[in-house]
Amino acid sequence: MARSITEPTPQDFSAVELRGDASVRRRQVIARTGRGVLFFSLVLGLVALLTLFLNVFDKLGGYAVYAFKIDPLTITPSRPLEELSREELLALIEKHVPEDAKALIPEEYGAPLEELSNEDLVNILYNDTPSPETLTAKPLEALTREELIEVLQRNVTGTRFEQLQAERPLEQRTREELIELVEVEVLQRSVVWQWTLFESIFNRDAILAEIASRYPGSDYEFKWWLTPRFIASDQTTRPETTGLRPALLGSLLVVILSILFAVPIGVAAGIYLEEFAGKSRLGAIIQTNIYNLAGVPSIIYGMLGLAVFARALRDFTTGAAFGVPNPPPNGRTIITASLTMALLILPLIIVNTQEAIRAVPQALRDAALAVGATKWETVWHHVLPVAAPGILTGTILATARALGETAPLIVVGAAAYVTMDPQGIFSSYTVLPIQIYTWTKLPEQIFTRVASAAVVVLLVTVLAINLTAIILRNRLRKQI
Amino acid sequence: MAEVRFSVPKQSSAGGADNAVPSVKMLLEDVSVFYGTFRALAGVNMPVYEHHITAIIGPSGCGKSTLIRTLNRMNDTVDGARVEGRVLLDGEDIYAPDVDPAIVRRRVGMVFQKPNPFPKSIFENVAFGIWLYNKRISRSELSDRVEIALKRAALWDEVKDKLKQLGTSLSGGQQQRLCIARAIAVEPEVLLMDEPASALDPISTMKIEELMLDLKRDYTIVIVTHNMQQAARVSDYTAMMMMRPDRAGELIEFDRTEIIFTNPKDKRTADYVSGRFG
Ligand SMILES: Nc1ncnc2c1ncn2[C@@H]1O[C@H](COP(=O)(O)OP(=O)(O)OP(=O)(O)O)[C@@H](O)[C@H]1O
Ligand SMILES: [Mg+2]
Repeated sequence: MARSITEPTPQDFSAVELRGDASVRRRQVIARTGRGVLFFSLVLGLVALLTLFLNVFDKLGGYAVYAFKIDPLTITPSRPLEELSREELLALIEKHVPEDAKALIPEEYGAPLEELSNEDLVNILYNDTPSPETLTAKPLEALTREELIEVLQRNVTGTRFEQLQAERPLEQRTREELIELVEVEVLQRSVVWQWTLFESIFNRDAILAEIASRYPGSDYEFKWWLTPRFIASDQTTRPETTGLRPALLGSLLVVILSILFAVPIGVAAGIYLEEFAGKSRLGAIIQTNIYNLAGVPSIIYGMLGLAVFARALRDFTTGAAFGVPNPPPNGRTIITASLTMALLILPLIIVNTQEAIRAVPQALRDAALAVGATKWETVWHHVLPVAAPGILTGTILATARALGETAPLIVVGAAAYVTMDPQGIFSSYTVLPIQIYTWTKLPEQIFTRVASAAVVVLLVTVLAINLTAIILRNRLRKQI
Repeated sequence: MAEVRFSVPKQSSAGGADNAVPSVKMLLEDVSVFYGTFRALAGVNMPVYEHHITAIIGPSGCGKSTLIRTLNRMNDTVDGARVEGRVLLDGEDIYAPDVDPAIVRRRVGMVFQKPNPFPKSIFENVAFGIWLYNKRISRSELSDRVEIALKRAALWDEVKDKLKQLGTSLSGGQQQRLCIARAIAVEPEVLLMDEPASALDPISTMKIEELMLDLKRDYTIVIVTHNMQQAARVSDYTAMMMMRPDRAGELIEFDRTEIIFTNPKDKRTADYVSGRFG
């Protein structure tokens, strides 16, 4: 078809000038809509993140009502009733014997109260009060520091007492701290009910009223779960006393070891693939496989670790081959976990190293080669220093990944209940995410609060690691 | 010397005292270059004369960079690149199987179109090549050689107080002279320059041209340029390249520069150098 082409006249242009015609306006609508969708996605992501944080922090603290397994008055110093004076006995009867029982006294003992002997008064107290032996006991709050320490010494086991002394000598603790210690250690204080953080902040009066009506006379306070004591203590079976230290140290060891295994190998493999392997069919196949490995579900690494490290190489991973006594069963050791985790992050580190190296401009390699450097010298002196920030960032991010990864360690056998610090690389262990998982599974509801405290520790650590990576990357990138 | 299968003006018709044919430093014999299956260069025969400046000119994409990178085996770094024919350096084929490309590049240095200093100090930029082949060199001797190279590259006065600064912090023109200093610091025999002044302002360009004229006493220089005045100003010999219909580049004329610019044999050369090229 022949088309006639006419030169546009000035009028043709003026129509679309500045404001544009319908087609231009349609483009503007599309642009605005597109921008709106992008912005909405961002907001959605931020809301999700915020919800996550609020949800975790909501469980961190709040008003808690306590109950004691043991009556405080049974353990504080008291005087035998027989030693009391007549006035003291009468006062106790007045205070503790119910009115109806009092009314029956003259009939039962054949004389009004005032005329009875001391012996009879003591008998009345024994018969008509619910816990006669605690009548003269001092309340906990009335004890001196020395008395508190003595109560502790009498009522906890010797080893526990030494442990407490080691954490901080009792003599250096305040009275309040000692009272708290007695409540937790001796009276087996437990939380019967705890409100969430936001309830406690925004609904304070209602909560206090409810405590007064539903738990009259109970001890209550605003209780935080994330305390230095929690982070530094061994694990126990009670939420009040349990701690995060074994899991923290376990995580630390596993992560450090897996990085030590994976980084040298991964970086070396990445450099080789990117700089020396050249383009071949085999290289392409290997490359594809590494990308795939980086995306393999982590549980599969757990299966692999179980088969290889925990089973086939058990003698080595438990240290039995090196004569380590009492190896944990089934190869459930730190070293097994570290090797499994190293396998998991290896492809990440390889791929990341490759990307960092690929980002180094070819011009830099040309520059070094052109003055007569060999390939090795070029890579070593010029490519690697420039790629180092990227490699380092990737390594740090892999650390964060290893820290949070749970599934493979469940398979290779992180123990659920480890009360003590890991004793070297052949020791059984637990790690943060598994500890959290275990706590959330326990029937005792209040353990979810403990788990939340651990979640915050894990979350903050991971975020701090990622932040370090970002800062480091920006700083080092600026230097180049 | 190997058999010469190209037509170079043995005795130029232009006449003159300096007409004696200089010795051949490098020689391309029927050189073809392939990128994968694409033939970028077809059967180039050409000499590079010692202590002279040879300019390579021609339209974009005709294979000038490919040709100059063939002279020091820089094309080795390109995946799938392949060279046929022979490239002789002092009569020896640099593509022979037992030749170490690092040694070739040592003897045939290169300056690239875009300045590419190392992201290291000015001193280290120049010192790296020297140190590579003399790792026991004393600090003072190294400093001396760095200074000499920077002086020859006409950069010394501008950087002598800030040798510790990053090479990348210099201006574009200074960076390019730093790259020249880096290249001559290792004392190559041949210096290849692929459009060394294309990113520079006229003053920097002039400095670099003066530099080339100064350097040709000691070095053999090959330069690729799109700037006809530059080729005419600095070069002694000019190679004119063109793309064939199959997009392979070929050498259509090689002669003394004044002949290429005043009395070329090929009509296409005449059109190109006079700016009538379509
Ligand atoms: N690395 C490469 N891989 C594949 N083809 C390439 C490569 N480098 C160059 N070529 C091709 O070879 C031909 C010649 O390229 P070359 O860079 O040598 O041209 P040039 O003459 O230097 O051009 P310009 O003047 O624009 O720099 C072009 O067709 C180009 O597409
Ligand atoms: Mg080019």
